[in-house]
Amino acid sequence: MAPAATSPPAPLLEVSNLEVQFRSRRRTVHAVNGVSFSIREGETVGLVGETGCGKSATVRAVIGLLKPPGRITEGAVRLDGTDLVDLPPRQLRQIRGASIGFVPQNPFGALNPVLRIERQFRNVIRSHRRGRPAEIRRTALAMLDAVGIADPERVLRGYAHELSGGMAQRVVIALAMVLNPRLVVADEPTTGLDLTIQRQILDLIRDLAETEGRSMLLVTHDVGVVAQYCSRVLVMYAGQVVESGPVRKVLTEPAHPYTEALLAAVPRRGERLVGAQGTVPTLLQLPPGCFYYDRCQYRSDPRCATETPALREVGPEHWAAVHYDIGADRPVSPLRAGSAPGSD
Amino acid sequence: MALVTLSGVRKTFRRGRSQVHAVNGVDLHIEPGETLALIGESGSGKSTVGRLALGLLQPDEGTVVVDGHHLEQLDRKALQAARRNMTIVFQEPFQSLDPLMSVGRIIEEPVVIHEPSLTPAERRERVEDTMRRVILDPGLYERRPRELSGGQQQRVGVARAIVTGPKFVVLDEPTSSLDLSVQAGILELLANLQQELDLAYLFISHDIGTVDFFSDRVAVMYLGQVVETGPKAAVLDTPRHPYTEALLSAALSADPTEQPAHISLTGDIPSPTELPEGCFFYSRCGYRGDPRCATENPPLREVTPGHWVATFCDVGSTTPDG
Amino acid sequence: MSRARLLLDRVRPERATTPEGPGRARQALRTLARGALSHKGLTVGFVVIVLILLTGFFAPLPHDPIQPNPESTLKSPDGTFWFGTDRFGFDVFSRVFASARLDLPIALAGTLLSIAVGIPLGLVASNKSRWSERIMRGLDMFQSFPLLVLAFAIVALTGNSLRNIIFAIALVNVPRFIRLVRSEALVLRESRFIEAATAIGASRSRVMLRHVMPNTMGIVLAQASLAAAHAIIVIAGLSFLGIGITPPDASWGVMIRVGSQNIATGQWWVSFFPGAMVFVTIVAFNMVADGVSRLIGRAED
Repeated sequence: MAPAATSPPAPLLEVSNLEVQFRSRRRTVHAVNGVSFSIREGETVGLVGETGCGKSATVRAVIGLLKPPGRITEGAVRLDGTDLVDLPPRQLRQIRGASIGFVPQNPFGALNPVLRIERQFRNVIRSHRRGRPAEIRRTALAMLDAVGIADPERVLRGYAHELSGGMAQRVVIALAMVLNPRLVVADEPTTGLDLTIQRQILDLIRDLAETEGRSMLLVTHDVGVVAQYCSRVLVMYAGQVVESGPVRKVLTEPAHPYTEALLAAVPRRGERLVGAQGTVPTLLQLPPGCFYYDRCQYRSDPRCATETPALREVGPEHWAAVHYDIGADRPVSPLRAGSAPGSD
Repeated sequence: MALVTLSGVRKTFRRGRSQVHAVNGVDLHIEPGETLALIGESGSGKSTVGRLALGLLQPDEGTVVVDGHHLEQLDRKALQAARRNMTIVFQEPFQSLDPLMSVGRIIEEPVVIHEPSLTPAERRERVEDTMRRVILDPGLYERRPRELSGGQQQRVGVARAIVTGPKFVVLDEPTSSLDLSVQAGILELLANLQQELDLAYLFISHDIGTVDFFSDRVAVMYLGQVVETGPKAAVLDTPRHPYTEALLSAALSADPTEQPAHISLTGDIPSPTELPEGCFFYSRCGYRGDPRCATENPPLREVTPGHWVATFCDVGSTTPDG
Repeated sequence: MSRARLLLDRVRPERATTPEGPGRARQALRTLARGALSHKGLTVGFVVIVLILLTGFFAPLPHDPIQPNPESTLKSPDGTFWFGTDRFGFDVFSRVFASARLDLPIALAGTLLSIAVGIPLGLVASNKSRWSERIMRGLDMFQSFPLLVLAFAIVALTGNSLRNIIFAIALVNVPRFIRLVRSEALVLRESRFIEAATAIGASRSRVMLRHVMPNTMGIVLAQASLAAAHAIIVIAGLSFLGIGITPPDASWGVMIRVGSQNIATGQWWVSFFPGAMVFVTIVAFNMVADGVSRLIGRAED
């Protein structure tokens, strides 16, 4: 686990009030609705949430790879003080490759199937600096070695389809790290990989980030990944960050009812499972009050139905978007919660 | 008398010019009303075993007996009739539902096939009862699968599986494509249905957490073989096979205060087109030492009552050196 | 997702045997209409074809299309003869629209016949069996002939009855439907819901007829529109060669043939207007085909 910083250094990445919409002629999907967070130097932050919560759109907006019709309608994404949102595409590409390394979910989608791996390294490196083929080759070999590929020579000569899923993800990580980025963004990097391979890849990403003091944004739907690999966590729901804070705090004493429900849905031996109640808002038309209102078991404050709660500090570095304090009402520890059967 | 028994089952697929040895001598049994979890990684052959257990695939060798029927000996008609008692719930809920059919018609189809004497009104009643049983609003009867959420789609899949009152259901990673909160609802439903209907489950999964929540007994597969099997607590708490031990240690605890030691495996699963000599786990094992490890494939042996493991080494008493 | 699928419900054979309320049918029709409207090309193409058919049969035409006016031959377009007249004194305007009475129904009937033959053969050919091999080899042999020439030869040899023309059109189009249905069925058989149907105990014929076949219908419909466009050309070709529909019956091919002798001398209108009509019809069918395949494409996203 990454050590929590003692004196908070300046944020490397600062996202403020980010809004992303997907507009088509007939409708607008409000995918991200005012997301703010920051990542400090050397810190690993987890972004957790379920399908459709806007975590992918947030990440794509951060790295400047939002696909049309998605676009940033408001807010800023600052890397080292430079706002990336309105940067011309050329400059954005420079920054994206050199300062932000991106590890996507599907490695085979990220590798070009018709180019040799060596060629792909050359393309990445050459787009940011000059280099002779022999020197680039040395760099690539060293990088492949660093990601634990046993026979880097052979991999370099080969094509993506010759690799297993775990190997391909290693190659993608090597490509993402080869320009020595200061921020690594990994979008579900191990979804679809086997358990033992998942651990290897996560360990690898963490080690690569730690040794160079890189910051990392790790997007996942797996609470276990957050618990074991992140120092801070952002919990997203309906396009908003509903809770953020130190992992140990958020996962043991959640301050938002959604986080609590998410944790209660983790299966454990001999305990009842609690499924979700109610429905997720459609994101076509945002509800007037708290986005979680429909599913919330704690709603009581009159503002819940009318006013969208803003993040407020509920503990040291621990923020939650709630109008009330759920700690007082909590029946049992959320990791051991048990209650009525759920539906979806 | 076990409800389901697989003995010495082998299955090889031809892929181009090579042979993929998917299942290499598997023995399993499932008692009425019990859940046997089949854990393994991709390429371990667990899904193939699930299909063999239902006669959706024919074994090259060995026998499959379900509810007294030797599936490999049944002719096509008899096998179709036997499917009333054994079904499957798939991993991908949407892909497993015919996109042109309404929810009601999908759930109704097994009844049409196996109980042709029922009137349309009786069928409709059965379907609506089943929908209520899986906590699906009967008002969704006329909807198409694509109009439902992932969780609802999987409830349709479950309803179709239980509508004829089977005794044995293969659950092929039924929740692995679903969100956590939706998964919770489906797992709970499956657990309740098992109690009400006395179903036997073969629960295929790669997720240790759901297996721990859900099963009675566990079988761990590696490269087409069962390497360890036994009561859930025995296998998950005191694994005796080095692979099981590594697999369990790779599971990520959702509790940040718990950080169990992780035994990292090196390398990938060997290719099923060319089976290794000796123990299939030899190339990745941290315990190998016995001279037989490299030359002989260890058979399952009983280490404690009901707990079987296929090793020459003893994981419980030695420590890994790898 | 699949509006096309809903649309295709109407083609499903077992619907007739299932008791379902009239409200449901109305709802399906509404969804169909909405789906079609959401794709402009599909709507436009469909409306154009329907309009051509309707005017052909029901619209009051200014002159009798098969009654020549011997006193006004080769007149250029004017207030009386909007599209002019040909060398026999036939009114080109009336005949252009009247041609739809023969050309379109023949094209559609030929296409339907080729579908009716192509689907079952395609499904059989998708099974692993002796019959599959035989059908595919037969098809290879059959297709090694130039089919268009074969069709022309058949009509020329057996006589130009409507039945023979329809048969010739079906013959030209059958191979593409067999191959299309076969390849689609081969893909579908690998899909989960087909495995699910087997797993609940459905017989092989039930899997084929209730699950595989209905799911091939979308792509068959798209192909059918293209086939119909092709059929229009075949009919025009037959008529043009004088072995299909013959004067005084109106057909676009016949009209183009009659006018072809006058183009060199400047009477362009006799061939131009039927030619334009063939063009419009083919474009309309292609728009329908394109729209349907787009709807299916979206369905599979």
